[in-house]
Amino acid sequence: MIDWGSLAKGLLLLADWQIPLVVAAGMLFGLIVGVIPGMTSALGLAIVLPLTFKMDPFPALMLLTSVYTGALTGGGILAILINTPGTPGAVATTFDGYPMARKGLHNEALGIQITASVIGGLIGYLVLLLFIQPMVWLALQFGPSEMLFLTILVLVIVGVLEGKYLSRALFAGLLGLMLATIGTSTATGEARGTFGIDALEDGLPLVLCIIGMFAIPELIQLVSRRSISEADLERAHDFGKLAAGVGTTFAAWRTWLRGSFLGVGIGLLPAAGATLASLLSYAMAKRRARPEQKFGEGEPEGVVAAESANNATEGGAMGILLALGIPGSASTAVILGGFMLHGLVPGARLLRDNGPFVYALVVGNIFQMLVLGFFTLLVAYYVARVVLVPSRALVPILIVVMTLGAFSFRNQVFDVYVLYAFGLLGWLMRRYQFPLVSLMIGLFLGRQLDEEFVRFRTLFVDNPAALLERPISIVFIVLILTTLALQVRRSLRARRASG
Amino acid sequence: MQRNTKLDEFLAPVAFVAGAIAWGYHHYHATLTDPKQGPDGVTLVGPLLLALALAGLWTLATAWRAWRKPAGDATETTSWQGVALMLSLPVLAVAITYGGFIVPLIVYATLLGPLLGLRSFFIMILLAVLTAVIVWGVFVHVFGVPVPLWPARSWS
Repeated sequence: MIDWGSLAKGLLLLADWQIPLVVAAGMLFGLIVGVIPGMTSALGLAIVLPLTFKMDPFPALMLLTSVYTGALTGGGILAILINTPGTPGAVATTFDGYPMARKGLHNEALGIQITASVIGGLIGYLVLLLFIQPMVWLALQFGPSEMLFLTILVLVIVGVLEGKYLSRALFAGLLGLMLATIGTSTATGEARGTFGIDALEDGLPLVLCIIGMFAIPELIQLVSRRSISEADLERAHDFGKLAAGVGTTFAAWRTWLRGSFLGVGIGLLPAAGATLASLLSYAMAKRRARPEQKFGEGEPEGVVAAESANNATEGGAMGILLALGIPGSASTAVILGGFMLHGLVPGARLLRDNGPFVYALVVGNIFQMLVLGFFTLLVAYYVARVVLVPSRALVPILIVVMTLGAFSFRNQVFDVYVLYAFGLLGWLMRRYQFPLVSLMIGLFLGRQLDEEFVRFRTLFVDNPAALLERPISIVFIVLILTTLALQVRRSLRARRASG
Repeated sequence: MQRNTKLDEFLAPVAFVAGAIAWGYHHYHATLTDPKQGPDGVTLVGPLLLALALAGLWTLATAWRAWRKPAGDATETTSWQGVALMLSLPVLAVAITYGGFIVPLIVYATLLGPLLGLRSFFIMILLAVLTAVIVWGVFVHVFGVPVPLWPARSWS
């Protein structure tokens, strides 16, 4: 299942002095981002992305993934210390983490949280490592019809999972596809929809669209807070008790094993993400609890279940990103932007032609997880103090960095306009419940779809029976129809129930 | 039946959908009538426009139903600081276009904090210095980005 030759070559990429530095820096920044309520991993990644413009591709992507990993873990620290999840994925950690802290077991709870995060992340990436070769095979089976139906399926699934309104999710996805057709047409080789602006001939700068759409609306929300938190963070720090938490986690191996595999599976689904995984894992652990276990009152296994699933989603999400180029969440969309920024397009070609790079990335992330454990055990308390910084001082600096980053993209002031315009569009869509992830997936897949659709029309419009020879397409069509039928049934039931 | 009074929860999606479809139609029509493009240029744009219009109608129907419900949707509220931040972005974009990066960004970072309610003179000075360091030190010198620091550069 593993291409050992590519793996060996990939290991050479890891033997670069820059890697430990970028991993440490990214992880520390990610932990800080994760700790701050209102700052999501996507915002953290959006801030760091411009700083990678001048970096080599591998260190740049390692930096981005370490920020992602750090943010997923950092979210749980405040969930335990002050009952405030730093990221949405850490909500389930508050259920038992904070009651443990109230009993004076905050050191043990943090030890459990960090260890379960590391284990979950490790399992996620180990599964990914084993499945790279099958993913290459699967990705190579994709032709125009598979791409078309996969795009529709992803938009439907995102609509069902992400928002309250499937209609708004589909509308946003279609708008994203339409926006992606701005620029040079693959069929005619001529520019269209550019309003005469030369900078749009290559299409909208997707990386900046994403940074604007996800980062600016979050800053608009963040700026409303006087300081991030005024809670009391003065608690005794005890490494011995942290280590006891590590031991407790290893003893609960059934819980983290179940949580981790659940997390990997949910990570594969677009828009499902860490929040759903950790809540489901917590619910499963609670259902299987022994009579003496009191979930919700400071049960250590509750923290194990939530955190292992939370971090394991990363492996699943990276898998679907690498294999099909589909970002399942805002964070993986920014990481996808990082790939594109460095001339790498995730999908079959990346896996086939850049095997060592992909293996290096996966193994690098496994290494990252191990570093994360030791690093976070050392700095967790100090990182938590970042919440005492006034957010209104933080926001202007973040805007400055993003503005300069947008300019650095192509050395054009026009790109700063794109960043701000998509920021305001993102705010509007978020406010009125049009899922941003749908628009973003449309934007990413639209360019490729434009190319594939021409071929699809040539191959299948006059001969629809040819579709029967494409089993993957048929599976996708069945999944689309089933998902839509289930959603319609759910809506009808809800309407009947509300009278 | 009590009607939701938040009119913007209905009107904003209507305006958004209408604006998007109007732009979509313009994109389709301009491409189709462009002699260099013709029907080949709208192979995907045409079906997309049709799908967008249908999804738009569905969106309007659900927005109408949601608005008529007694308890409206909980839309995310934005504070006056958030609105101020939003309004400041176009101003900053124009300032950068005509004034280069260094002065507008330092002024922006220094004034935005107090505008949003920050009252520390020390933090204002810190923000100004940090901005100068980020622009001039990090981006220009470390990353080698040709940032137009001063006015009189073309914007595109």
